[in-house]
Amino acid sequence: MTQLQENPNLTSTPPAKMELPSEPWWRFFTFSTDHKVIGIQYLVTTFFFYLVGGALATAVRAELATPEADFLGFERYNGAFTVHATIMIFLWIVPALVGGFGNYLVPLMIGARDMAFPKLNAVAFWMIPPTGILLLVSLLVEAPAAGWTSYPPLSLISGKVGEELWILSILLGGTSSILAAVNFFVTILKMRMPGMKLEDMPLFCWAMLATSVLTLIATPVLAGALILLSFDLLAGTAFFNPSGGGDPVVYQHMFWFYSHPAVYIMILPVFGMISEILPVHARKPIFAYKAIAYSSLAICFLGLIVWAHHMFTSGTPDWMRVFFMIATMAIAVPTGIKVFSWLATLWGGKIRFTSAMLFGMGFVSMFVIGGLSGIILASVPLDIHVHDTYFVVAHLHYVLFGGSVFGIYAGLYHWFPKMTGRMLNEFWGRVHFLLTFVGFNMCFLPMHKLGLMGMPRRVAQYDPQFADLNWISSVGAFILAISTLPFLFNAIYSWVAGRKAGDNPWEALSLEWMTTSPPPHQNFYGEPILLTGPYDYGTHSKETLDYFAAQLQTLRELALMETEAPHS
Amino acid sequence: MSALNNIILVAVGILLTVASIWYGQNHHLLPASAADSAPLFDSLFNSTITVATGIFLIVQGVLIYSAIRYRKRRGDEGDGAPDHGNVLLEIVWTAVPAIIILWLGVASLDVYQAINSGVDAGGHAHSGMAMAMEESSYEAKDPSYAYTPVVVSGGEVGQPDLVVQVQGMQYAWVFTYPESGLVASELHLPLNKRVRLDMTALDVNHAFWVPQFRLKQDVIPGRETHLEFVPSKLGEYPIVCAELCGPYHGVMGGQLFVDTPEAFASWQEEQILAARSDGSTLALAPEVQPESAFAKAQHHRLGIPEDIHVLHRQFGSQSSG
Ligand code: HEM
Ligand SMILES: [Cu+2]
Ligand SMILES: [Cu+2]
Repeated sequence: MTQLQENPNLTSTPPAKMELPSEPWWRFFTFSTDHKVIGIQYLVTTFFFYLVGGALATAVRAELATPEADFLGFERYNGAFTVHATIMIFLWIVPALVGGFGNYLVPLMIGARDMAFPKLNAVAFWMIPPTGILLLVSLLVEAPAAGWTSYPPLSLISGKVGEELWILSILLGGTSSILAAVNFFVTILKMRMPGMKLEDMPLFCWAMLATSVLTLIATPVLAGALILLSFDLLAGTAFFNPSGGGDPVVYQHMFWFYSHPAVYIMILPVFGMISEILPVHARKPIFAYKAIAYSSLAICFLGLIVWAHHMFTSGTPDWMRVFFMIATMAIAVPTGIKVFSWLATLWGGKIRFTSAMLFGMGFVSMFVIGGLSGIILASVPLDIHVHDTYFVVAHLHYVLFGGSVFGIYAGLYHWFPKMTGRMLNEFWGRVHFLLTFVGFNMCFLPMHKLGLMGMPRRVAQYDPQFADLNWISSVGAFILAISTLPFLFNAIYSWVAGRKAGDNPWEALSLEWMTTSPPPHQNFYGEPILLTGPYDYGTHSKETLDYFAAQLQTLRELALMETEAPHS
Repeated sequence: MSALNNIILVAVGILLTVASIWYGQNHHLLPASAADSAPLFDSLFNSTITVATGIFLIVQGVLIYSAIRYRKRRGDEGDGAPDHGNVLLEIVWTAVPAIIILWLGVASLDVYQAINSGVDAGGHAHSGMAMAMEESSYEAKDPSYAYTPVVVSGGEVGQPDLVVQVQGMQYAWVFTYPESGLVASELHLPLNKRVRLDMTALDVNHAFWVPQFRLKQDVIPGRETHLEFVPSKLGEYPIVCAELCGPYHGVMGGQLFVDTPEAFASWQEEQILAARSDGSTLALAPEVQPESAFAKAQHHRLGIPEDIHVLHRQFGSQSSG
């Protein structure tokens, strides 16, 4: 804080009203190489797909409201849940987290002007719309119907056109995510501002580093599997086709070698975001920074050697079942470290119940349930009973919805002011949270029991003994469908006419808040300075914030003078 | 910490333990159990639920407590304590979960081995590899899909009292009793006898699941997979296909009957007689309807009689009346 005393005039500058010329709105529709534009492009595009995936989910739950297959019918039902899951994973969670938040936040958080390869970044984004179009076209032509896992031989006989469209779509999406991962990896390692060590980075950047490593190692294997599947499908080869001597289980290995790490690709960035959001709104440093950072790396490593826990009933040999059980259970330790550290971060804080914080705490609460059911799934004898049942559907939604989606919402409420310069309405934020929380638990909690009692997943028709719990679940799904409305209208209205946010409405300390909202094209006026760690709440944070605010004001004046100089 | 605080802490701890243990025993989350190994599953499941309930209550409790106790008060714009960590605490919450999963891992291994091998069925020796699988007789020319003994490295093959061949197809199960040559659409098993199922699929992946047995095994074309168990309770149980196998996956079910040995024997005789008078060896469920060309080709390759389609259509029209 010595600089503070040396520059007393900085702290006392009165805030002057002034607007820097904002960039044109249509930049969002161009091949922009600005990581902030790309981040927002990702977020808006993927949210659109979320709504489509959600509509399909609602149709699936409508079918399941009663035991008979009387709403969608058998064939269309399989298409609906297949496309639902594919959209949710490959067009919502992954691109929203990595492409959306990753792009927007990483360069700002490490004090960089942009990503390492801006053009590549734009290319990666522009592969997302065709990915989605291919998938949506498949819905109209012939929906892929073999589940998002697309196991052969079923995937080889359930419709060539739909299946091939599905494969092409995933290949395109996978390529996009590999390109993005290369970019993040290099950016985080090479583009940090001078003086910022890895251990000075916000935890979100650690999470993105681990995510990129996972993507780079795992995604090519999925691509390989899908290309081979394509050959089987179109050229009549028999890599996975038993009628030609192929082995369908090999596909399962290749598929899960990617898709298990993929679940960490879908949750590690959320871990990172939660580690940013909780300290700000609890006004406390993150508890155990190093443990959280390194547990991300531990999860990254362990996540690569647990894939066969999805195959405990696939006829895998005993030693494999045992190995993958132990490895899977081991992940509970680094995951537990994170959860307990978040709790300790809240403990003794001064918690501000903003919508971001509600979703953040909701995340911790819901994710723990998904983690506990995950431990049950890790145990071979227990999994043998619950595998491929509604218990799994419950588990995966507690992790993906209660985890990832709650986390994304927390992130949207938290960073919306930075991205748009305007606040989201807090009242409607609370309504949104309440509806989501109630609808979510009503929809997915009963599924645990359904699965344990004997209801398999991916069925359009089920035993009438399961009617009551399914009915509750479907009502929950409709509440969830409705819950997106307050958010949608809030976001649209606030973006246009919301209250002005100011540069740092949450009084946060990480670098992205040390610039204007929205930040200028070059991210920072002048060189960004690292005066404080990202989590130094409680120690001079007020002075630091005042200092930064004043400094930003001065820099803004300078920038304004520069832009006005040529005109006057 | 004051004495009062300590008392409260101990009381909360006791309450938590009691609640967890109670829920672990009273969750009502499982159907009745009907196989020898199912109680092993149930006790492992109950202990896991007990521990999970404890963790659940602790985490949600701390979360709610913090939300109330540490909420920002009106007018207080300050920060919380600048608390960056606590090594002791961190060691504790690394070590405790590690111990818990170590326990669960060992217990799971125990139960898994017992489910696979330890069941006493008339003094036979059983290896731990009941579910092992290997390349099946799929390539064999023998149209009856003859049973090939499984040779597994590391242990001798178990000696079940009864072997049944199971074939999964879109959307039905076919059960063959090799000793009598009986082919049936229902699975009848004698009580308290060790049974091994040798399973394969004719078209796509299926999974054989009996929730009351707590056992499930994928049934895969081109391979033989196995399931070994001892039915321990008379009754009728559903066989559920648990692996997505096509549009009608949800209606691919079957019936499993655990009979007394006498009832089992007389059922077998009846079926054989009925089949003979019918002129066929097949008694198939009405909903057997191999859909795809792929499935038909598969059935052909595997030597399922040509007349199967005709047969079950007849059967279907008879029984639907
Ligand atoms: C909007 C609320 C949602 C509802 C009501 C919903 C409902 C469902 C249901 C009922 C199924 C089971 C279909 C079946 O097995 O027959 C399912 C499957 C699935 N859902 Fe969701 N879901 C929702 C959101 C999400 C989200 C946010 C994700 C995040 C990635 C997701 C990922 C999946 C996946 C991966 C499957 C597995 C599909 C498969 O078995 O191939 N869902 N969903
Ligand atoms: Cu996994
Ligand atoms: Cu099936």
